[in-house]
This record gives sequence, structure tokens and C-alpha cells, in this order.
Amino acid sequence: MKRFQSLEGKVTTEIIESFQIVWDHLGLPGSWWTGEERIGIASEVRKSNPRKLWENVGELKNYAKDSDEILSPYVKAVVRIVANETSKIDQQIYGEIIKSIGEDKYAELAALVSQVIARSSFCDALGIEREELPEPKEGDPRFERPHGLVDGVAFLPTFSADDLPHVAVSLSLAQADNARRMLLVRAMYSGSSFGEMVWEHRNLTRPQIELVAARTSALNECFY
Amino acid sequence: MLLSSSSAAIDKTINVSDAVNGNGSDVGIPSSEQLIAFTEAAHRVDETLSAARENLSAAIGEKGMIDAAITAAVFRSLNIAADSSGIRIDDEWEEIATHLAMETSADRFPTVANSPNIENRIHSINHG
Repeated sequence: MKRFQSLEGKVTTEIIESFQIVWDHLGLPGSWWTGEERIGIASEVRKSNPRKLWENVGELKNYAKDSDEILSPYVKAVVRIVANETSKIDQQIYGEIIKSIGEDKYAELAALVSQVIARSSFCDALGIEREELPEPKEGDPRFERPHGLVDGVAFLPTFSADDLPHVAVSLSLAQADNARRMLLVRAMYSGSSFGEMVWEHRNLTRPQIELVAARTSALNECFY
Repeated sequence: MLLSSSSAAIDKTINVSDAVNGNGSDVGIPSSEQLIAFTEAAHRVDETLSAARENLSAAIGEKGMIDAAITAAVFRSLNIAADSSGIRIDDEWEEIATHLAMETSADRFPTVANSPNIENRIHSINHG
């Protein structure tokens, strides 16, 4: 069966194409994780979603950082916190994670989680079967870090926001994955009309869309 | 913030607190109750989701329901990007964010700490 065929006719071509681009890159070596590790991160996101109310990661220090598996228990726990308990990430937890895996790996991990969640949550909401994850491709990460980063926008260093909302540059340390994440945002949310208060490119009115957005953010305890 | 702005653009006054905390009956946007029930159920992915999906489709059509699913999914993704990175509220949104936080009690969320200017503004208003 053709990928994302179940969505044809239900969503815009732009959304299907953005899912396709995300999926095409998910299993490729990234900037700091191998393809196998990236699929491991995606797999952990999906295994832990939807989260049961009683499932909490707890303290990260309780998880082993060494393992023979593709991802250590510690990294899997970080994935689950980012995916399901994001509002718990304060400066202290962030600092602990960075001390263990570094800013670059953390940014790429978070950008991957945000891409996988967009697709999985959509399928779950509609009761559509989740797409199989792609096969990982061999190869080394590129070990690249972008230039021109600034402090002061987020815990993580980011590109300067200039005229963009902070959320657009939030994970720009993982430049390529942040760009793909924002491709999803453009396709699934604003199109080219973010600054306009009356939208005609969606089936809901903009106030109805912002109502769903506001309640979703409240459920996730996201102040931003 | 954009909920208020987009409603004002079509001359609608909305109850933001009900949008964030209530069942939607007083929000002032068409089909708010069904939209909120669906958003809540999509977040939990529990046995109420199927009925919430049907109720929303009956109110605004299948395409509208799918649009709500798209929105809930992309905002969960945006919430993850925002709070995993620890971004603060944008400078130009600080004033309105302060007032909306007080109106909706959103300053109870732990991630308000990522925007210390907002915390300070709320403290100043509450304590003179």
C-alpha cells in the first residue's frame, strides 16, 4: 500500500507531502544520532504514547546510561519525558540532560520527538492506523553544529528569532530537523497566513482552530 | 493570545477562561463544546474519543473534525518544541500574555518559569 494512502482526500497534499519528507529523513543518519538511533527514538515515542496516567518517568538519575542496546535506558527516559512530560523540563532537568548527552544530541532528539508526535497524534485522533516506521539507513552522523547561534531565547542556544516567533527557532540547534518540524507546522497550522486573523485555507474558522490550540496547550501545561 | 486576536478580528468577544478551563458552553465560538470535548478525548485517546469524533462531525462536518485533529496534533508537537527547548514568551506578547495568564490561571503551569518577565509582571500587578 502506498504510504499515507489512508489520508488521501482527507487532508491537503501539503500535509501528506510534509509527512512524506519527515518519514524520508527519519531513518537517515542525522547531525548527532545514527539512523538506527533516530528510529530507536521514534519507536520509543510511539511505544510510550498514548501515556497512561500512572506512567511517569520519575528521576532520570535512576536510569542506566550504558547499555548494549541501541538506546540506553537513560536516553529512552529522556525521550519519554520530552514526549509526554515536557512541562516538567525545568532548568535543572535540562541541565542534567545536557550534562549527560550534550546540547546537540538533545536538540536533535527533541526535534525528532516533535515530528513523530505530530504524525502519531493525528492518526490516534482520527483512529487511523499508525504508519510503520521506516528502515534505518547505515552511516555516521554528520557531527555538524550550525554557526550564528545566540543565547537568551531558550535554555538551548538558538538562531536569532528576528521577526519569527520564538517557537520557530526553538530547536534550531538541530537545524535540519527543526526545518522539517516547521514544515509540518506550516502544513498543519498556518500555511502562509500566520499573521492574518481571518483564515480561509482551513475548514474551521481561525477562532475555532485557536480554541483547539489553546485547550491542547493547557492539557500539556504549556505556558508558551 | 491568538484566540483573542482572531475573535476580535471578526467582532466576537470570547470567554478565554472557559476556552482554557471550562466545557466550552460559554466560550462564544460556534461548536465550542464539541471542539473541546474532542480535543480532550484526543489528548487522552480513551474510550470517549469515538463518540467525541462523531459528535464533532455531526456539528461541523467530517472535514471540520479532521481539521480539529490536525490542529490538536500540531499543537502537541509545538508544545513539545516550546517546553523541551525552554523558550520564553516573545517580547511583543508579554503584556497580553500576562493578562491572559491571570484571566485563565495559566500561570499555574510550571513552564511559566521560562518567562521570568511574565512572572514579574504578574507579581507586580498582584502586589502593587
